[in-house]
Amino acid sequence: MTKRVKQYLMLFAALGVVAIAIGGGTGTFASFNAEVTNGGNYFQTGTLFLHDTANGVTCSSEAATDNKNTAGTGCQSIFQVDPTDAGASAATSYQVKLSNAGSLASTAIQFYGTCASNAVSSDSGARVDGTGSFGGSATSIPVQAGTLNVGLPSGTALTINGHSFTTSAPVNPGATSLPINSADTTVLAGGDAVDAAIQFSGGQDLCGGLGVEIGTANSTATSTANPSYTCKWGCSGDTKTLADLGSLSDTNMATLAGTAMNPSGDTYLLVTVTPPSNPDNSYQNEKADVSVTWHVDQA
Amino acid sequence: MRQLKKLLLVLTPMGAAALFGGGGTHDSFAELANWTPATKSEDAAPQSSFRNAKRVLIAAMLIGVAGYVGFGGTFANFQAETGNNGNSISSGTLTMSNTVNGGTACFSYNAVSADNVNGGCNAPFAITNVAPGTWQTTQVAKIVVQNTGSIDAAKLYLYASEISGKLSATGGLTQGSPVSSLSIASPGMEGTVANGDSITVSYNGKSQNFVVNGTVTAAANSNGGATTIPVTTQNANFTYPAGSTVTDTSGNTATTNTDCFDTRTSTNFNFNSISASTTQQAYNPFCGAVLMWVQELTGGKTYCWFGKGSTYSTGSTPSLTEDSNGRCVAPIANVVGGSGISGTITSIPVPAGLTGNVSSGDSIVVAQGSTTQTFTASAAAPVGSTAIPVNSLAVSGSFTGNAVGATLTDTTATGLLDSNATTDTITNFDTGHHQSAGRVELYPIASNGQLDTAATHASELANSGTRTFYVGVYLPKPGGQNQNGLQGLASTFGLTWHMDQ
Repeated sequence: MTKRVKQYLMLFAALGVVAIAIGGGTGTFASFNAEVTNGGNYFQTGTLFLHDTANGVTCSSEAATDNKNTAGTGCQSIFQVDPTDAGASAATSYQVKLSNAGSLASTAIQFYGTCASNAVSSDSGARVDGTGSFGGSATSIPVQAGTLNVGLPSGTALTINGHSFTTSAPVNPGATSLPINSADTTVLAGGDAVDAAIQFSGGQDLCGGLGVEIGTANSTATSTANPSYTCKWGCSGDTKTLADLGSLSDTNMATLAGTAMNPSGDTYLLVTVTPPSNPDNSYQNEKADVSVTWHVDQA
Repeated sequence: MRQLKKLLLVLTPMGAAALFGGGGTHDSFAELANWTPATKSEDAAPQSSFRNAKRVLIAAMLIGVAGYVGFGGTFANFQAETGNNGNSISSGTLTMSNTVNGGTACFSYNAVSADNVNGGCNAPFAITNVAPGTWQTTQVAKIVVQNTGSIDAAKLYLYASEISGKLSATGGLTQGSPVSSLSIASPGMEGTVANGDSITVSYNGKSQNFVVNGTVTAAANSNGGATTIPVTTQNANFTYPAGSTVTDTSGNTATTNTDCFDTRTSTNFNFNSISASTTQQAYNPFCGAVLMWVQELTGGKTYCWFGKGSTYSTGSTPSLTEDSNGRCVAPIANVVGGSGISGTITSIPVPAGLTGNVSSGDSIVVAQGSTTQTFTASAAAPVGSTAIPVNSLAVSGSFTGNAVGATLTDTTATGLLDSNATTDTITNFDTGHHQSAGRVELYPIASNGQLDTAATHASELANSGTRTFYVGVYLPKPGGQNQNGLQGLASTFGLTWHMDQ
């Protein structure tokens, strides 16, 4: 073998090594090969959206960044009850339409809420009269004539310059003296309360005083008397109050049985609020702030 | 005379060469014709002798010429001859087919690209409106791969399809013409193409490499489906017609450029992002959530090639142990068959053969409309079984028609997948098992759960041989996880079966 032949052989060997390196070493040295591909496989999810229509206004779950519009963005209040009606009105029903706006069937509707009793107003208008000092045994607070513009039930919490008192008897508007528990009068001295404003809050827990029930009905029903109405929660024998509604949570939701919805399905709910059975002045100046969150899962 | 001798020496071998091969003796004629004796002192022979010799030589040369130009006759009186004519040598074939759910076979050689590589076989899955944890019979497909050629295939591989597409009807390349952009036929590239990726255009054994030079715009609401790919300009080395294969060879290395890509099928709801998910895999989140398994049943033997129960499930480096029975956690997708179920039963008939694996103790839910009943498997029923043994139980009277056609769901199996929601995803299959790394070599199955990996093992797909696979996909419902980010999304992906001689 000549020197030149050897040189050629070495060159070919080197070229082979380079070819393998360029090829990636994937080991496909076969001369014949065949290949088939199942491409274009398609796997698609559906959607589950809940729409809520109250008082003619519709809001959606998908308006929120996690499909949970718990902030109620775009949602309308179901009811706004004048507290002065609490003792006078009969049960009132309010319609809410819930819609499955997605492509997947849903489970039954679940819900939870909050309820907080608050005073309608904290300003009685009244101002302290006299020296602005109270002895430890005082049982009343002098009020400048003509400044008290609301009636206060017994037990109303009062606040004067950050100090708390409680009325010991009902007071009518225009009164010039607020009866208080004697134990509350030991803190003010030296004229601290001269001309001070008398703040007050509500007396009774309105959430616990207002009954509530929820049921399904047809789209035209306006009261529980409609034949299409079926009570689902807070029904006779298991009555509920707004306080009960407020005790529910996202981990302890109530379920409206039989309300599963197919895509494009609607469910009409009647939310009925019932006033206290024995209303008195203790419910004056009260309001209940209520929120309800409706929830469905994929079926 | 010395010159004459030289001519005679030349004539002998070269004349023979002329006779058989026509090799370069014609100069001898010229040399001989021009030859004359030099001088008397150089050659003592008489002038006439030289002339005669010259004539003889020319005659001999003419005879040689006659032999060369084809006067092939011989002048023997007796002659004998044999001829081995009609010899031929033909190549064998190595082709394969792919049949999905008993449909029409798709052949490797039927591709437009004319290179025995057919990227257009039937898609086993076209599933819509899926919810986490739910199960449809369409989520399992039976794929039969057959060697339809005459040559045994030494190697058979399964891997994620490369990001690919076809040149559009107007996108063919012309040899010698500059190419600065590739036009891809609808539905565009399957997968995500990135700037700088290497692109190969191939057709009928010819190929040319390009480099992506610019941003590749995907289809609307999609991470894939690009129909235009800008490339660094170069002249085409061949006339590549429409339909030529376009492959992104840089793909399947990260979640951002897998063959599997996500598309938003509905409005952007702010919570179903396909490229910046906050609750799922950030890019292609649906591909990263859907689980897949590949269960083989060939010759009565089972092996789990991918999925829960497979040694290949976590990527290119096997780190898990193959199920001892070769069974993936593969939910069945069957219906009650035969004469159905009624009275008290100990077995549910599935004459079509189970498409998944049932383990002893699994809960089997029979559903017909709103009527459901749960049975408990009394023994294992692997893929292919025609009945599920169950604990003795009276069948609900609410079923009609003996529940024939009622769907069967193994809720225990789906539950196991719910708790194994991150390992066997399509994304992991793509990045762990693709053309350039981690290809799954489908060795012959020696026995359930055991492969024949010996160097001397039989061909992995003999000519005319078939191998049968069940491929399933499932969107798990892991506990306590908000999956709203996956609403209104779709994943598109491919599987490639490849064999070598």
